[in-house]
Amino acid sequence: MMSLTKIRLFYVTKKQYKYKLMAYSGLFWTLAAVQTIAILLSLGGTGGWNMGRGTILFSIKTLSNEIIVLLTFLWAFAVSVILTTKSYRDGDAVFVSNRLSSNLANGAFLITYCLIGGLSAVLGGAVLRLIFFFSTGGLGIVSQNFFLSPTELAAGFAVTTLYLLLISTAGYLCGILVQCSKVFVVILPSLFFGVLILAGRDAGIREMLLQAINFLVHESSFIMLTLKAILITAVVFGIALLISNRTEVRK
Amino acid sequence: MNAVECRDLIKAYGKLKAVNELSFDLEENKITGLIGRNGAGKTTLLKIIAGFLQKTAGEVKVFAENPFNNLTVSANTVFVDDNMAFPQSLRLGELLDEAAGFYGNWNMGLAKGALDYFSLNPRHYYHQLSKGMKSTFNVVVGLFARCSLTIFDEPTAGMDAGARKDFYRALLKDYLRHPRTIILSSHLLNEIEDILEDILLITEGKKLLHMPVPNLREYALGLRGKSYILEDMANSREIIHISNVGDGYAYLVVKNDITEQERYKARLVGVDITAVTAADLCVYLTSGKKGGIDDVFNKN
Repeated sequence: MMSLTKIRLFYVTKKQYKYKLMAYSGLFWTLAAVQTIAILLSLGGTGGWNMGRGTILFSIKTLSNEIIVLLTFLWAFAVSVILTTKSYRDGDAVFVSNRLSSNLANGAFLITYCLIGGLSAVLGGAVLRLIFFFSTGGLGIVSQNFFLSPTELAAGFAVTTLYLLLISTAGYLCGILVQCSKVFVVILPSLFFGVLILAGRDAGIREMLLQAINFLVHESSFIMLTLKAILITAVVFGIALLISNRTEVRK
Repeated sequence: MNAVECRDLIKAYGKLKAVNELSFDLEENKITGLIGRNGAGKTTLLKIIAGFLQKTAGEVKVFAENPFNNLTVSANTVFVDDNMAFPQSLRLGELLDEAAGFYGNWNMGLAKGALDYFSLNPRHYYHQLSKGMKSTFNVVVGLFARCSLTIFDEPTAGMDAGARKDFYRALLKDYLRHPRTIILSSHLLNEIEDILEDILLITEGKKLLHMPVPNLREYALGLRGKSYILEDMANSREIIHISNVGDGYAYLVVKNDITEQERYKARLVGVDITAVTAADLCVYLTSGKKGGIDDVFNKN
């Protein structure tokens, strides 16, 4: 009588998660690269104007880490799509796995990367301030909003991470759909741009789109935002899980 | 108990049936050779058994469970082919450590020993290895994972003769130490014949035969003699293969149901009766009714 190894889903998922952290460490360096580029781009300032008459000349520059955050959003989307591609999916199937354990490990991996991405995006803002402080000297800086309190940093980190989570689950679902059928390579972008174009023409659709965005972006209560983000993430990830549960591996 | 059971298993890609109403059982702790020509459906069948692909119809059971997307089956199965997606960022030694974490029966001592023997540096990266070295590393993982169901799909691709021989020997030795169900697919039957217990021969997704190797060796006989005499003898027999060897002589392979008396008669009329090796027989059985590659040259 052969003795079968009994294995628990939780154990395999944990094992796979650790394996992914090691195996996909290359993706971490892409974050470092993206954020370095973002910091360099931000040094020029994100806005400002010049004004002057005669010999007096004003030059005002606004500095913010919005480029860093935006590029980190793009990075999160890309990483989550990459995780669903064939070589990554087949990589799971080399060792013990099923679709559920694979997806759950991917989820845990994405949460980890969103936390890292969120933290480094916020700290990137601090780096930007430091570089500016030492390159221009303290005198030229309007101190309003220049100094970050720990609470502001923490809030920035939490909110950025929540948005990263939303974006990467969206990316994950897109990736899963594309893996399911290549038709989605055409459908998803057409849908995205189609809605944008329609919103530009039709006031009703524009209103709906704005409401949908406001639902997430203009949420003043942090607790409500957290609840919304977690709920949406869970639903979207659940859909991705259901779709991918029937896909074949190592084809 | 059976490790693998298939009943009327079908895997269809559109109109093409890669696996076509296949039924067989694989007893546990046996080494079975899955033999067939290119495109016979070997890999598809093995990937269904390993739980990677979904069947279209019929039934497939591995350890009495449906293998597709099944964690228990995955934990007790290792599937080795020449397409193992190992990550680029891990060294060979680290890959072994990871494999050890996934497979309960993993034997690290032997795996490391084998790596050393095959001159695979644990500090090297998988993607830097040559094709043959990759295959060697793959079989090391497959062998020492010691899974109840171990599947090797053309594992020796690119390996030199020495490495292949060492692999077959290691396979047999470790199997004796730690018996398990092994499926070895290959088209080089003569190389693996000696380590196989059973042979499952398939063609165009269908089963041709499934029997112990010794039975296969006695399954058919080769007759060599004058064409017209052989034609006479061939009547009312199941002909497996026929070919002209020139000069009015022919070579005929028939099922081995010739009586002593017939043997005697055959010898009198100058017909040589010889055994047919398992490897040759498999080629004859799977080459279809087309008469072989010679026909292509004769007709054109």
